[in-house]
Amino acid sequence: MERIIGIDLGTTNSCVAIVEGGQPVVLPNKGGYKTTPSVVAISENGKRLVGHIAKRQAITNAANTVFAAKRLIGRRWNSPAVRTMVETMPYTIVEGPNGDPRIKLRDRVYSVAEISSIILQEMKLIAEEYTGERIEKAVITVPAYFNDAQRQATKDAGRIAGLDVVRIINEPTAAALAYGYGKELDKTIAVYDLGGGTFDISILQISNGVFEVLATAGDTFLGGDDFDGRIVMDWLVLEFAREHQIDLRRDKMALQRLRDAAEKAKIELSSARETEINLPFIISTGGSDALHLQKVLTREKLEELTIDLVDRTIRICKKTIEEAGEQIDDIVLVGGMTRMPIVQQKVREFFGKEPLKGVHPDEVVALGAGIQGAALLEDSQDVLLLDVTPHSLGIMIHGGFFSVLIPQNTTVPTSKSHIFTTVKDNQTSVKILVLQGESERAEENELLGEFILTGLRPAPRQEVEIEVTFEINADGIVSVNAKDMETGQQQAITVTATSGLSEDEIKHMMEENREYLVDVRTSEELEMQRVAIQRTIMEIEKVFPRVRTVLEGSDFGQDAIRKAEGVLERARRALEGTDVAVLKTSNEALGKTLNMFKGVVQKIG
Amino acid sequence: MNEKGKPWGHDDLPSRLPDTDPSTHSLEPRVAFLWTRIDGETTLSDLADMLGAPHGDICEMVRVLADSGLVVVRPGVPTRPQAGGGPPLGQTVEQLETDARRLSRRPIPGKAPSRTASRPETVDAAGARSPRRTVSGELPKATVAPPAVDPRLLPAGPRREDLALLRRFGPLGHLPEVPFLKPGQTDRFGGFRFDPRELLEPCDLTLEQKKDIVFMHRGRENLDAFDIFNIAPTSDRKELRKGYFLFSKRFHPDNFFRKSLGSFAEPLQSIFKFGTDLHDRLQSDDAFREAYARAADARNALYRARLEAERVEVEQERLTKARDEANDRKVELQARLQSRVEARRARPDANPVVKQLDKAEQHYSDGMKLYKEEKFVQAASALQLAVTFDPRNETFRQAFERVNDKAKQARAEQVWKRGDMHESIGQLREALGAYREALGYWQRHDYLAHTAEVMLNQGEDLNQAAEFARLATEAAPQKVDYLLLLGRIYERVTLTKRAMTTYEKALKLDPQNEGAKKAVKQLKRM
Repeated sequence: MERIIGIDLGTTNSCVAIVEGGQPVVLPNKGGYKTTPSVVAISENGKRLVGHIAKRQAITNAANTVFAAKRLIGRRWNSPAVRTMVETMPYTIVEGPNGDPRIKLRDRVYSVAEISSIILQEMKLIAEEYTGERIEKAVITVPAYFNDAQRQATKDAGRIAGLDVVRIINEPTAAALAYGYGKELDKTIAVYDLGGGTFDISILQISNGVFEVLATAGDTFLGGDDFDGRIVMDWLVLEFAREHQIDLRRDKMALQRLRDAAEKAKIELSSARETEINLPFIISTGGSDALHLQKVLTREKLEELTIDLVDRTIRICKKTIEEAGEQIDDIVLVGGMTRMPIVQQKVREFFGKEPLKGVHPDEVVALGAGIQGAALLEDSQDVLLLDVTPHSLGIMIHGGFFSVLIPQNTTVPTSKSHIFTTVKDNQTSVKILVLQGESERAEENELLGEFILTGLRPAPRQEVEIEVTFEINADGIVSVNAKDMETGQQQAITVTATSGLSEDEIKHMMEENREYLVDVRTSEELEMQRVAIQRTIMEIEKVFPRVRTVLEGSDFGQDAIRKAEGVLERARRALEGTDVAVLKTSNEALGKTLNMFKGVVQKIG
Repeated sequence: MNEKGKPWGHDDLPSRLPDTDPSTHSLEPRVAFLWTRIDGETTLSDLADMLGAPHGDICEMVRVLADSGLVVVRPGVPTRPQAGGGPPLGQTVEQLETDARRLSRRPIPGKAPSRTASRPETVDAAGARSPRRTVSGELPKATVAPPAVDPRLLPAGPRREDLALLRRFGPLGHLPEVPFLKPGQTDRFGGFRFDPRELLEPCDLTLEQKKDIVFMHRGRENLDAFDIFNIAPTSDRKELRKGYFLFSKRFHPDNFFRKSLGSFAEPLQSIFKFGTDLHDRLQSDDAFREAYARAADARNALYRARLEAERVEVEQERLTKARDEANDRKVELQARLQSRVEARRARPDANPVVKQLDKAEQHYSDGMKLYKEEKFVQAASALQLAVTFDPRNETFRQAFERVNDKAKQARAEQVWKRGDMHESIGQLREALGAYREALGYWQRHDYLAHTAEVMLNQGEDLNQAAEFARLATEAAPQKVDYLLLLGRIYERVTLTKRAMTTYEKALKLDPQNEGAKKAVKQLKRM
């Protein structure tokens, strides 16, 4: 059966879900956890580590452990966001060949998409293990505020991981899908999504299984990490400096420990009134002396440190709801941060009603993505998502202004045309700069592509008319067409936002990953064989004493016992090796022996 | 009266003064309504037509508006000769009649071809209501041009300003001239004719889906926004959204995810884009939505009214026709009866009376012909037939009597000859028979006398012989011989006295007659 899995590729945690028997389910990883940390590390011996293992070793391997890669994806090296990351992250971020940020781990430089692909691949494996099928297609969620480049980079990450990303959907939209799935609803809902890295607010209309996004807004740098940052930077580091005159920020390992401790404390304070942060040997003072950090954090203090962050989310909510102009019937909370009592309280105060808690804030986005994946394959349309463009699309016009053709929040697929004209006398060509963003100034928006329409009739300015058409098709692909109304001559481009990776690079990475995939698979098989042999040996050993007493009397019996002992011996030796083929044959031999023993036991009753 | 004291003409153009607000004046509702209809392009006579009021009333109402400073009236370009001097303000019976006649002749507004080229906006307005963009799929053409219905009985239809507003939005504001859903319509495609080849294209769509797509793509011209979203024009924003959602469930490309759509893919996207644009416009632009709903409502009202008017008209026509047919049948029946009478008259054998008369005529002419040929017997028998057939005809009778006498004489002569022949050979009996027969036809005196003499000689039936002789003497009283014969017969039957008298008569006639003298002497002797 063809499947499309849903992946919530989060800043801090990722989650995968499918729809099974009409019910969306989140798939647990090998450790039994439903969410997997979005952490990737390269161990000392060059092994790739993902998820919980990567997170656990982060403290000792901070420089080679990547977290919050989502904050870098699809961004430009010289963007302020990346600049901040370069300064604060324990791992090394370098400039890539295409002006994109790349991450240096050990002796290799990875693109951000590649790092994300490692997480996606992990999610794919979880799903394959659960279903026992090959998974090739996925719906991946991104924050509503992601621009085209970020979405494209996420898609590329999927491709590198060997996934056909059939749709990129917005996280709040996915949350709404999960909330409204299978219910006869006719409501306007607000999805308040405060996750690890980003904040999103979306207003959706749900009716008869159709989900329409009315408005969406957010802040790409407002999330749980910022809350942790407040605890670390504004409190722990500050207090420590006051006490010991030592700046902990200089020590990347200490900083990582502080971050972890802050996150843990923050989570604990969602249920407890106060918690202790205890970090022994936080830093050495040159000699054999080490300093310890021990502090008690109360909920009040946490709220004092972060209240302005919460207020920022509420301000965004206010603006968005005004834009949508609809009465909100329900509020859905998404993201681990919404467990924080102060967040819930502020949301309740602002909306004047109790937010819904029925949906699990960490899993709801993945569930929604899974639902959308299943809905696309379904013949009977129970669920339909009317998605919107997250950003305005347009062209640069005379004076460096941005002329919007497709406004923000326009339902896709869509196409819009507008007629432009020449600015100079005898102008024979025009340059069409395709931009994305919300600023009136062209240069403040993101350039998606450009092309030149030539062969215009030399004429006084404003006389030649050029029709520019923007189209976003059902798959979200943007194409722009410029047409000389007089001659009918036209030029068009399909805008593919650059994720910073060239097509060749992506192909190369895909190839590399495939090799890696084969490697993982063999080691898995090795492990399987080992477990199987161990199990069989145990069973044989269980019945061996009885068989021995029965068979000892006869020559034939003694021969059989010797043979069995030989088989066991060889199997134990094979267990020490790594040759899958050897393990396989000894396992088969063990199986025969066990069958013979079982026969003997049955005969004697 | 305008400033010059001249009455306004039919073609004078009232127009609104800019930046005036009628709500600040206390106007009669109908005057206010008139104000809404004044657009600087509509003449007083058109306004009269529109409102169904006589010219005089319109002038009075415009007067009120002009006095309130809301409108001015410009002299218009005369389009009718009689409007040259402008009719008097006060209305006359003739004026009323002219108005009424013109009204009944005028076609329904909207259907009306513009009368003058000097009013381009009117042309434009009509054009917008019936855009003639070509579509390759077709709906069956409107069956018949609706009969001219008195526009006074119909609602005004969509307002000009609403249509103008909608027109600004191009295809989004397109409102079909007639509602798509018509009473009694069962086909959800409204009789749209599909191209079967197109529907046969192999792809992952069901026939119904293909039809849906083709219809929505090509037949969109015939649908208004409310048809597209399947909602009532009165729907609020919420219902509109619901309609749009259901529309999306049918036409969103995601519903056909990774399916082979063939040539349906492009129309599908175009349908969805159009629906989305339309929905967004309706949802976000109150003025547009209100204008659309109002225009659609007015159009529907006009359509319904027109249908009803047509129905009434058809019904009346039917009744008139039935009555006319009954009349026709009656007239025809009478005509048929009449023609049957005439036909009967025309055919000779049809009427026995006519036939007999004709026969009589025929016989008469035959008879006269035979008479001229002196075939008297035959002529008499022909004439007798003529008299028999037309007994009342005196000419026939007289002719018959005249000819019959001749015929009898001829017959008598014939028979006499035969008797004479018999006598000459001594067959006296046969001779007497013939003589008597001849006497039956013609009692000629010599025949009578001869017969009487033969009878006397034969001594048979002397009484009759005496009678014949007497008739002979009467027919020829101067014949002494006959008297002598009569005397002899009397003598023979011993009527001596009568014989004596007869002889004496003979002697008186001829005293010298020896035979008489001798007979008298002889008698005297006895």
